[in-house]
Amino acid sequence: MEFTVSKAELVRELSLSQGVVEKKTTIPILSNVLMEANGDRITLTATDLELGIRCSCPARVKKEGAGTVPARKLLDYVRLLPEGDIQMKFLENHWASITSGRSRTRIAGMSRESYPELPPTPPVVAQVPVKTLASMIARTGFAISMEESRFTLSGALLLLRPEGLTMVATDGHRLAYVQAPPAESGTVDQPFRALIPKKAMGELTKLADDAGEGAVALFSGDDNHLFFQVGHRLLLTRKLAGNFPDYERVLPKDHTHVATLDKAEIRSAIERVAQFADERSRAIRVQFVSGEVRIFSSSVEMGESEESVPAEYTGPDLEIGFNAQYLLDFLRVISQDRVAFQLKDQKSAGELRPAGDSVTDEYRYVVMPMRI
Amino acid sequence: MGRIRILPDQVANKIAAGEVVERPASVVKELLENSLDAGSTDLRIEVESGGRRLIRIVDDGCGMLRDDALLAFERHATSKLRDVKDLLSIATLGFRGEALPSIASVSRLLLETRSEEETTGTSIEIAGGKMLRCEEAALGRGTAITVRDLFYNVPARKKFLRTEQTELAHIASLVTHYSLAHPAKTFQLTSGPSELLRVTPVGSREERVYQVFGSQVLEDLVEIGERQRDLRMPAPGVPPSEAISEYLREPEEPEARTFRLNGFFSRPQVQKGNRNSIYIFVNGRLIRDRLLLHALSSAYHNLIPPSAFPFALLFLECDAEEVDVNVHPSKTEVRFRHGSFVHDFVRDTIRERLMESRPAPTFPVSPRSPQHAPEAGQAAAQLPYSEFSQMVADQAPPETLPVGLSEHGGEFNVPSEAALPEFTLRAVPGPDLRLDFSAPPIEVTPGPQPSGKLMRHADPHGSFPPDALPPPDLSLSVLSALRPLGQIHESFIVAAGRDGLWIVDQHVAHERILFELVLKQRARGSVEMQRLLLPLVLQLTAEQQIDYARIADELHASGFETEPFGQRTIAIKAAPAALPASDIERILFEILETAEGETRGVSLDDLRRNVCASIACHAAIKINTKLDPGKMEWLLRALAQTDCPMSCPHGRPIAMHYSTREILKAFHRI
Repeated sequence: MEFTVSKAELVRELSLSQGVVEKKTTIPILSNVLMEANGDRITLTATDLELGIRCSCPARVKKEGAGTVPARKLLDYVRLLPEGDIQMKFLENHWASITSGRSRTRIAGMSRESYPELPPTPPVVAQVPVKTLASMIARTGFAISMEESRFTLSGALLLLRPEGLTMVATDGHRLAYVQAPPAESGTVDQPFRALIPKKAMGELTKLADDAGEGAVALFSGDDNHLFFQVGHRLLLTRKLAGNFPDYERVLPKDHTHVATLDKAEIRSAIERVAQFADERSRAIRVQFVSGEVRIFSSSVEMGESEESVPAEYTGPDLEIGFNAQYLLDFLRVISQDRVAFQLKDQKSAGELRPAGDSVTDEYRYVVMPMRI
Repeated sequence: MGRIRILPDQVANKIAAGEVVERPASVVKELLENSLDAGSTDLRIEVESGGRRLIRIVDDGCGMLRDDALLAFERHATSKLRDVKDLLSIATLGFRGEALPSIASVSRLLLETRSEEETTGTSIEIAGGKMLRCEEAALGRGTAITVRDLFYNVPARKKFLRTEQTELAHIASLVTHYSLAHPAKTFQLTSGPSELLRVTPVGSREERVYQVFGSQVLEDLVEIGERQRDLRMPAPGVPPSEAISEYLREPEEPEARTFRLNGFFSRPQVQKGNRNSIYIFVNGRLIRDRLLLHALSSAYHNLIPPSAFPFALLFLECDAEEVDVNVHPSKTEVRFRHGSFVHDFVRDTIRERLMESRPAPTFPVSPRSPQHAPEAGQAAAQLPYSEFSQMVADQAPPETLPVGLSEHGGEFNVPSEAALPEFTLRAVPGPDLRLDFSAPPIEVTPGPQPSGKLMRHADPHGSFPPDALPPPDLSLSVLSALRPLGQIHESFIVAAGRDGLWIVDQHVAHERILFELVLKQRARGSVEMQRLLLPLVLQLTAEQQIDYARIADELHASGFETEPFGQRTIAIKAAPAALPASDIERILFEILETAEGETRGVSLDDLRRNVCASIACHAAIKINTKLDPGKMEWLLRALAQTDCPMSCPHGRPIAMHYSTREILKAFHRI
């Protein structure tokens, strides 16, 4: 295999593979990137067997073929080369020689035969704007639990339905639910339900950042994998196995009382008061009284703090304990200026939603209270 | 003629002998107790063939008058008791009047005794319970009893005797422990030509422990000092023995009964595989008592693993009326009138002292100790894979293993101890790290050269002042002054202190901090609870269901809001706030597991500690977690403030100390 490729293009595509390449690998070949030259393009593939990415860029191919080289080393080296063309040639012993200007390097590679084969892409079932996907991921990802158990999954539920896309994530204490409006949901040919692992969501966000305005992800899935094709890049991930908790049971049907607040005010108030909350539980007490919301914290060791924020609230006086971190996670991610705090009583779930005119989709965040 | 008849004394004595004289050691025990009761200060014990052929005890006690000497071999003849009321307050070791006739009925016995009041002594010879001879003899004051051919007329019992070595070991351990209980007396034990024990009178128990066990053991022990607690409650209590309950005087209870506890117990790092190293004396009597054993283990609860046992020598003194020794003819069991008070007193005293002493484990490092190489290899094998652990594993030279085994074979045969680091608390003055520049140059004091190869002239690398050093404060309170240097394997904090290097296991350290925090919150009743989005439904086994029902209240108080949810199913609605939701299922089953089985009878307090330990363990930072310096510092400071920073609630050590002295030694600077 022999080809010439522009340094900038190679660096850009290689960078995308870095998040996928296994760092603490037990299988040496997985720290390599597979390079294939075909027609007028080269294709780069990286995988850790959970997640795979395949990118391509134009190249002048002199001789078709394939080979693998250490992904990290290749990127570190190529990045330092001056702008311009890079010539790569794979030798008989699987080594690759890289020539650029006056630099000549030979890098130890491994046989292409031992590189795992990515599963074939099934027919496309939906076309989804990547910006929509990225925004949904940003607004649910923080609620994913770190560890998996029967009760929680380290990933989010993605629902593709003709009426729109839905993403739900939970860690057992809170749940984030986003439903994109049909106008932003692209076209869904066939309803689909899938659990996306947390790591794949991160890579998907990276792809979305790198994709141009209006880019669309072609979504498909087979029994075990999910595929997102964005332009000439393909991200595929193993599906999460397990049952996602019955989120519809969790979403409150009715709320007796609503407090509407200024997001910036309540956010900074909580940030300040939470300094005096217990370091582990981050417990604060939130008191809803007519016309304002008060926040309290106290810890035996450090002291106590309280603050009040004006609010549109007409319900009865209520005091509920919450984890400050959970509230802040939501307040930090929404773009709207107003936030609605819906509640029922001390023992029932509280719900936060962005409020105001600029709300176009349905974003609901359910937080369970604490007993303090 | 009826079929029932009264057994002749001969037979009755043999039956009693079955209970009292089980093995040669029981003979020694009975005779030794008689000598002690007689006020002897010099006790010599000779045995041959593990006591089968000969047991001879010579004392300088009060001796016996001739008539008494004859009477002593009658059944139930004793000088220690007069009427049944005396049974309520037995101050002597013996009282049953059974030992001598029992022993005499199964052996050839020679008694030689002279009391102060008589000018001549008495010599009596008995074989198989029959008196052969009784004559006047010229003897010194005191009593000498020679027991030959034990069980010569009871072949069945003789068959059950173990090897000479085993029987001798029992005798030796018995004499050793009586010698510990009576530091002011001389004890001498010889087996044939060899002397097994010889201790001269000393002023304190500590000195006696040193005489018997040596300095190494003494360093691992904590002395209780004299602790006492008064029992004030005029509690009715259980009558000491039902047979004499009718004679109990009506509650004309004295205002206060004082219990005193003295003795030694090991630091938590010393862990024994069985209870054989626990010796409990109640009013000078060596006993095996479940109540006191339990008190001891609960004092160590959360400090050493449940399967390990400490070394302990406990001397409990109390009013003779508070304890009933008339439980079994062998007198190794007692009953306390106020059992729970005694239990709590012993447990609290030991626990308090354990907390106060806060000893720090040290590394068993010495420049030439090949046995650590295989340990390093083992440790590396258990560590998460990393370049370093790989390196450690690679470097552990395999050929050192046989060397270590051959040189330290004995140590390796005892896994419970070999696996554990060795702990010392030698009060060695460690050099101060702060060098005084203005001080005149200090000559290195010429010490014994460890080997000819090491040339130690004036050290060109600068020397440490060898004296004028503060005695090292080896208690873990110094933890707060430590400066964290970094982490090993993102699991262990390495920290420098004034007195050397410390390595702290971050998980168990945090676990200890949280454990005490959770306990405190629990005590205050201010447990923070996080409600769950969806109740977590758990399926229990029938056994777990029963355990759950028993501990449901305690679970609730600890922050688990649970409720029965149909047949053998419970729903968890809320859990302690510090726990991640994904762990709740595991932790609840873990708690149920600790609540079941042998601990079923465990006190509520222990259960609570178990629950808190489980919560703390799951909420604590894990190993393989990167910590920034601020966090490490916080962890060390918080650890220093805990009541017991030396081991985690499950008994694992938290911090290891490598003293400056040991570092200097390892680099051949001292």
